[in-house]
Amino acid sequence: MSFVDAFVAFLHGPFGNNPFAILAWQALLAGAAYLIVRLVRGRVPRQATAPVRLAGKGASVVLRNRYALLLIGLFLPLIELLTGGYLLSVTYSIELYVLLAVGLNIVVGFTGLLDLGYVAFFAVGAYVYGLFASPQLYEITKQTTYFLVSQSVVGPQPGFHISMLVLIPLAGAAAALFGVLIGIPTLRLRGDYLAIVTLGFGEITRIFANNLDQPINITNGPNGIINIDPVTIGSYSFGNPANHLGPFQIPPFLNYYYLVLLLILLTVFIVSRLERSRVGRAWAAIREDETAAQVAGINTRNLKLLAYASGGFFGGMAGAIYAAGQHLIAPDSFQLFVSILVLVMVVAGGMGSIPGAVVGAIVVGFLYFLSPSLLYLRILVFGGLLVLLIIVRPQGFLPSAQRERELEEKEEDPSLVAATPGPAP
Amino acid sequence: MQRCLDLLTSGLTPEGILQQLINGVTLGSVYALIALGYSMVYGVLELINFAHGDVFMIGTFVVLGVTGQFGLTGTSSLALVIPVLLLAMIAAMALCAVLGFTIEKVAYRPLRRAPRLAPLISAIGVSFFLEAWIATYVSSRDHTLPNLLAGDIPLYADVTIRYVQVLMLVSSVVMMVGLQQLVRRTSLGRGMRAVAQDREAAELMGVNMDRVISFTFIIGSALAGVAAVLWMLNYSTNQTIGFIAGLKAFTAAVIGGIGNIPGAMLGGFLLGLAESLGAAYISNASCGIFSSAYEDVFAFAFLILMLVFRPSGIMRERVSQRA
Amino acid sequence: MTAEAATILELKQVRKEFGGLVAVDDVDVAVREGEIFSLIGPNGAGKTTVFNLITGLDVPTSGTITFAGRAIAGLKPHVLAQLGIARTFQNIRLFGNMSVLGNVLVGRHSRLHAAYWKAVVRTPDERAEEKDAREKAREYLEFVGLRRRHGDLANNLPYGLQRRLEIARALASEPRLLLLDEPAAGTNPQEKAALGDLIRSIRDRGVTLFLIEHDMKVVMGISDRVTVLDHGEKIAEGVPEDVRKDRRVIEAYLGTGA
Repeated sequence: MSFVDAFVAFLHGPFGNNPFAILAWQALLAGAAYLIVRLVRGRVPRQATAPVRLAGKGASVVLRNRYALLLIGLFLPLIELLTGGYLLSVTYSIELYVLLAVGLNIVVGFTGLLDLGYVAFFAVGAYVYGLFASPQLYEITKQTTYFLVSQSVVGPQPGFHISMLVLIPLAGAAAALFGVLIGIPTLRLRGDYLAIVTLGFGEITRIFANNLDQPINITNGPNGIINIDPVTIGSYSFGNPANHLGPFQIPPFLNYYYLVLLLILLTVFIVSRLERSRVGRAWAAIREDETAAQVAGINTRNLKLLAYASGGFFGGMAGAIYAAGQHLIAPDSFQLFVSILVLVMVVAGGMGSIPGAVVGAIVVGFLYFLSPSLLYLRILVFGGLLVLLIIVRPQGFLPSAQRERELEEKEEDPSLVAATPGPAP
Repeated sequence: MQRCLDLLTSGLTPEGILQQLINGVTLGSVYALIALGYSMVYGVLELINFAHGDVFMIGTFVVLGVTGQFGLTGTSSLALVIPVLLLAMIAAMALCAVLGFTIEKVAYRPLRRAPRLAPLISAIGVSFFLEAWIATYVSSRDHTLPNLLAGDIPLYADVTIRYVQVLMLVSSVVMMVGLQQLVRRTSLGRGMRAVAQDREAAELMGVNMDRVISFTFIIGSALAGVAAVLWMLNYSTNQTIGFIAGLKAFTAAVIGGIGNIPGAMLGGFLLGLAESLGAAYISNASCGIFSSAYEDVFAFAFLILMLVFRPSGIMRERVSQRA
Repeated sequence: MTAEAATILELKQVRKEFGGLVAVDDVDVAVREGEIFSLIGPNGAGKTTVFNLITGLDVPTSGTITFAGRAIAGLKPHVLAQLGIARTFQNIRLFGNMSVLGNVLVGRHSRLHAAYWKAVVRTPDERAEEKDAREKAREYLEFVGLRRRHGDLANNLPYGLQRRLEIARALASEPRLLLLDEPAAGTNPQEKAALGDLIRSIRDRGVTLFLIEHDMKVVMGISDRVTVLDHGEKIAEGVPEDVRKDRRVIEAYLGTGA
């Protein structure tokens, strides 16, 4: 009996299948856990927990160090390969989520616009890549009397097959444009209302993807787009499982892993430079007080749209690579749940902090993907952890280092450290 | 083009429209009951209780459980059906109330001073938890009640109203009038209104915030329990119903002006009407481009348009705030 | 200063209604370049609305607003900041989770012109501009006496210093006209005196000041001219000495039990 099975059985309890019995058992468990936490908190002297806190602090230092993170990122898949490669696809999925989390962090963390429809950008990027790198567009033109694409555009298969160097940024740009289009009507909305509206846009996008096989088959409906080209550079196909480096066979996921890693590095570079510029300050000002930001001279409309567009751009690129790596995309992959998962990563990491978004995506990603993969039980555990997490640590693992950032130029002013009261002039 | 016009006019008969109106109003009355929960909580906490739809969903499963326990079938006698339905309603109200109370205590109360996003996120967590719990331990399939209280009252030509529809309409109106009285007449109701007006002032005046908030969740959730019974008389349920019905109910709350009890009722009726007319005629009206697969798109589009252009609802005059 | 100084800001027959409620009732105000001008009136007299109209947060129902010879009613707030109008708020509105320095840098936003993409590439001109912005921001902090607290979170400053930070943020946009909305609210007598000095020294830098106050005493000492508003309507205008003696002013203030 595996650990997972044992866990499932434990949650199910010994009293059979009656929901009320299960509920009673779980309530009992929760109560017991609560009591134990209360007791332990009261009994254990503070010194005893010091090693734990020290370890936590050490972990935080490592996680805050971008070189350490990079090193882990570079060698993790190699280690995983040596240990069998099972985790590689999980690691690769988490990587895509890192990209999404860094993108969403611009919108939610920096600018304070609660976006619950971020999956729409991911979907737009994926579908743009899917349409232009598969026979689908050619199929569309066969049904219409207008031959937008003639049959002479032939690669290995009919249809467009544009180089990924063009297509991935193009997918990003399309998603950015989509972000602006969604942004315009929602400019006046804040907080919960904005959340609901963006959630609506996300769902609308998915429903359209699901139904646009009628009257003209654009998205191929619930079946999705198939036969999507893998990323290729020259004659090297990322999707070819027979690639070898010397004696080592290179699985496709490994190719994509390093492609995404490169993209993450680029993204983090661009986003952190934006963050430290007047753009980032303006975003933060909008988050803190939109009216005061306007009066201080910030064109809040443009900067909010820029935030949506930037967030959309990175989300769209992630979508394009996702489509290339999977070879097929279907509307079911773009459920509301993806938006929520990314949001949870951003919040768990600490809103408004780039290392936070990265670490949040990694931690939550592993929690999610490695929790019992019985579909609903995974969501059950995830939902519970989400509540627990936000209550125990609402500021996230690595909260925004806004102040530290301002001080980063190593201003040599010793009075900063001492909490001297301000001078009375 | 001619084909489209033919399509458009073919389904439009006065009888057909009247029947859809009746169906819409009954559906809307259930939305209205759920909408009250959103509306009251938003009024008091300025928080969209994302888990409210799932409280309703749990209610529908309680109703399923109780009626299943007594072995109700379509041929059961009234003498059995009525008491069992009453019992189901009481059980659903009680369980939903306990659930709403617990959710507030566990997931919202510790976050009352946290950033605004925090309670929203824990609400989402609760919502996922409840849906997954039902799917894991109860069922992830569609369920309906047997056809109880079969029979209908002929109204005009072949337009009829079914007994269950009458029951739905009457009960929801009774509930809403009752709630209105509760909020107007009782001291807790006064507390609720005071908190909705100005939270700080209310606290200074000695209103017990915790009690008012708990009370709001209990009442809102109990109403969702009533809605669950009425819903099950005519529609089916599964673990995701809370999201869809919750979304529509929230739209209803926004249409009527969030925090406004008669408004939620009006919003529910309007939305129910829009949905049943839309589902019946949209395909023909759009010349076959939009099928009823787009039903949820219309609900969302409606909600988005309301929030963008008329966030204070259709009833209230918009009063600009002085900074 | 001479009485003939040019008018920098002029409100003519400005009216603002909120759904039938008249907040500002056909008010005429003219502020001269380089003076300290005060608009006073009891609570609810529509003073803050006047500021909202000047800074573009609200659009007047009717009437014209002219700033430096240009009609500005209906322009967006950020455009007005660009033109040289800055303000503070009655209920201090800082960017609470940003540092003190960050707040002032945001105030400088409208004076920075490097295209956004330059921030990613860090072009030399963008870097020079940022460096300059930081230096200027420190100068303004020095000026209001917050130099040593530039790294603190704005939220963590005591109330009186938050008011000063808000002024520094406004000054960072190098305004020609600075609107102060009840700058003395909630400050103690000692702070009030210091505030008077600060306001005068801002004027000495060539900035025109437009104050609104609830408290008569505060403004009488520092203002060049005063206008009194009651229920959205102007009831007196002139140098402080004359206004103080005006019968309607005394009624408005004492008659309502102030």
